Amino acid sequence: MNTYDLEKYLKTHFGFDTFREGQKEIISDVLNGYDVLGVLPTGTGKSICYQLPAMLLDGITVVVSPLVSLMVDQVRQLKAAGFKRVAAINSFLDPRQKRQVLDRLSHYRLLYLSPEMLQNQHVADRLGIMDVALFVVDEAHCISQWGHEFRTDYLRLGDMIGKMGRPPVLALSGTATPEVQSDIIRQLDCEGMQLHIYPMDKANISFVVEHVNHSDQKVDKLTELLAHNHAPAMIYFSSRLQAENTAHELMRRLSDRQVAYYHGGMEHTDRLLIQQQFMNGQLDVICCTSAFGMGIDKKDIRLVIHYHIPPQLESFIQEVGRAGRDGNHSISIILYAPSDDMLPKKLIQSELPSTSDLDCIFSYLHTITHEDQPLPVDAVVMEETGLPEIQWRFIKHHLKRHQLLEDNILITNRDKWEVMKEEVERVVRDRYTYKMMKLSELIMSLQTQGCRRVMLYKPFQKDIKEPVVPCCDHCGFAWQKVRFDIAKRNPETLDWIARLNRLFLQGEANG
Amino acid sequence: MFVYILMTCINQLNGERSIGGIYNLLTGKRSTQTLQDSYTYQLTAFFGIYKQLERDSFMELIKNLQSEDILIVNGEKPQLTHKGISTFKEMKNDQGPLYFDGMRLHAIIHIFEERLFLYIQTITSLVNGKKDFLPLSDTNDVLQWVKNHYKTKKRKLPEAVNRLYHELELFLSQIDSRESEIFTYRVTGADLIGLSKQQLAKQFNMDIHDVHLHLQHTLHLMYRVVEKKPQKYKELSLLLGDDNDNPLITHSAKRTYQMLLNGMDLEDISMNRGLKMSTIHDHVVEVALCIPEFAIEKYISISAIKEINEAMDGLKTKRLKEIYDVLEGKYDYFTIRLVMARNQPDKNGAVV
Repeated sequence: MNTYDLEKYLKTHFGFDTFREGQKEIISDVLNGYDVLGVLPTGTGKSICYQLPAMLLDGITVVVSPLVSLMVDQVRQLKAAGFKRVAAINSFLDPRQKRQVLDRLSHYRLLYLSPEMLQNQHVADRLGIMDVALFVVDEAHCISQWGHEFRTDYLRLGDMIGKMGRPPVLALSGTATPEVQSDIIRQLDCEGMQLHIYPMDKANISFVVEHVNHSDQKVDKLTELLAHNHAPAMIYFSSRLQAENTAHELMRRLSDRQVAYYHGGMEHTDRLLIQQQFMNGQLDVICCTSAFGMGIDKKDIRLVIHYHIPPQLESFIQEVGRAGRDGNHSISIILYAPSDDMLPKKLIQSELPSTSDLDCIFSYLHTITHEDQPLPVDAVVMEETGLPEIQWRFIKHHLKRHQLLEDNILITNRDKWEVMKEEVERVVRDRYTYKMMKLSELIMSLQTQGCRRVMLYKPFQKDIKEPVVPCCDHCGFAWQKVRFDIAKRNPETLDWIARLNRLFLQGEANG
Repeated sequence: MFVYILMTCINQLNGERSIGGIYNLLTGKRSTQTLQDSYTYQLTAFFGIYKQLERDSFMELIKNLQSEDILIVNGEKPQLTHKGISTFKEMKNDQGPLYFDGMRLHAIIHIFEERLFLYIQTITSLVNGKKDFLPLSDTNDVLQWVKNHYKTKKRKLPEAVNRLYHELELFLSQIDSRESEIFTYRVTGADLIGLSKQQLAKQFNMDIHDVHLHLQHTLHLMYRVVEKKPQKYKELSLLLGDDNDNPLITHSAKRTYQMLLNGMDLEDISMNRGLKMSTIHDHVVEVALCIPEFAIEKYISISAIKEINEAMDGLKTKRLKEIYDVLEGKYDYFTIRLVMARNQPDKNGAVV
């Protein structure tokens, strides 16, 4: 059994004096060579659970993570903190950069991979000959068909681990129901996994559902809420356009608040700027899609408001988890109008291929087989069939699984094709039913008369902590009863010389 | 500013070039056609000043100007209307001089921009003991460059920060104060994060194209001023691009030029490089455009040059086809293009 002075390493490398709940237990098991499943609520420092071992273990630690921007940020942060032997391979890299990283693999202690890189034969081969000390599956719920962010590429993880000579595995997730947990263990083929499951309920958040008669009234409600509180707030939207429009409207109505929007469709630099402004207290309110928040560790977010409901409880818990990381009182508010289930239903439908999408792709593939052509590159297939990437990867996965696609050649075998088609159709149907079920579970919980806290966390854990703040609107709380007023006031508009002084911290403007 | 620049382009193109041509000019498309047009119509200053411009929003703007009766489009080719011309004249009076130098700077200005912004962020953060800032650039070369540059300054960081501050103050006090403001609001320092382009647009009540162009304009001007007076702007001059490469010319054209210098003729080069003759012709035109000391007299007789020039003057047009027709096919297109290339009046793309 290895013994390390873990606190000492924590202090030297990360600057913290003590571990947060669960970190030390997970790290100890990892260093002792166990397979570990860690379920830690978001915002409690999951990444330290592999970053610290990566620094201590001999050999390379490989982390598969679907959050590309998060991995890029982490690589930067680690490098900024002095840990240089870290790299990431993802779709942001051009082939030359990829090769550079792959050629120097033995130089790295920590390597991040995005899931689609698992499909890359060259990457797999290179990793196969490495001494992999630890294989980390971040956001492990993505491997489960029942997880809320299922990713086909994750189904290859089991194979990959085998190819690397079966190193110890660490699977991490912020939200995994017991059902999903056993799915993770099965898919990764790690029966003896050490389980470290921590409750995800937050004792410092009050929950409120604010009913409106029509979605038009939501902006009025937001205005009221934000005028009442002057504190860092996030507002979640399912639509980019609505995030933008609402941000503009709020800017117009609340002239003394700094409001901005953030979504995945913005330029990289602009996204970084908005994110850092929010971190730095230059923004009070951010109207965002779920793209925001990954890897953002702002401690003093007081309000997390849902303008649109997310598609299931797991996403909601994850997003609410961004509030009150400093432990102080925070509030979650859902704005809910009668026909609010329409949008998530539409989104679920558009995520999954329809029957006619499937007919189209199958007849496309049929033509290719008929003409004895190799399968074109993914981009071409997607362009010609109009299939989104995630759906095409899903189909491709099933083709390979049924041995209908080998070395990019489609195999003619009528029986197998029929079986494969049926299976794809069945999986799509099941997923659709499942997602609809998850959505109605969420909607039910909104309509409950009982305690919202219990409703929310019951599917994930047995015991729920006694809240240290007023519990929820059904337990007698109303948001009007508290007033947050902590945001730093933003200075008046500065002329360029004053702005330059502040940028360079010159003269009296430094205060 | 965007509308003004667009109208300047349309005015100078005189209905002889298409909307797509203007788009290629602004986004800096490296085709011989675009290069030659920008010289011919004296628009080199604007070459590549708006690389991020999306075709759709460009077309939308054209459409708006059409519906405002500022311009008409004849078979793809835009022209200012009477109203457009008088609007343009008014704008020209209000508009100060522009200092874009796109043809020369288009390939290096973004390096200067990224270095400058990242360097300011880096040294103001570090001098204030903030080590874990997130760099605003994700271009590896720039990150590496700034890192190395920082190492040379590290021992006297406060002095370097101070000098940079004073140089920026000096420069910004000499330019349009609105542009100074846009610039200082874009910059990120130790404790103050810069604004996104959307936020700048709102703050300064202008559209996002103008935000982009004002920022670019400030950078072009800064580059030129610093380059001219490196003694006065010591810190800034260290951030200028490494000017080893002539950015005016494509790599392929450069190889052709090298072979010409070695005494090969066009046929040989075409054979040797396995390129079509028309491609080699494009290269020669590009060389004539970009390299002043290249003598076209080696390829065309003096009398031919004279004759073509006269035809051009007589026609008052820069349309190849018309010149070709009036010369009744006596000279091929390549010859005419070469003479046109050599005739560029505005080589350095200075003040427009």
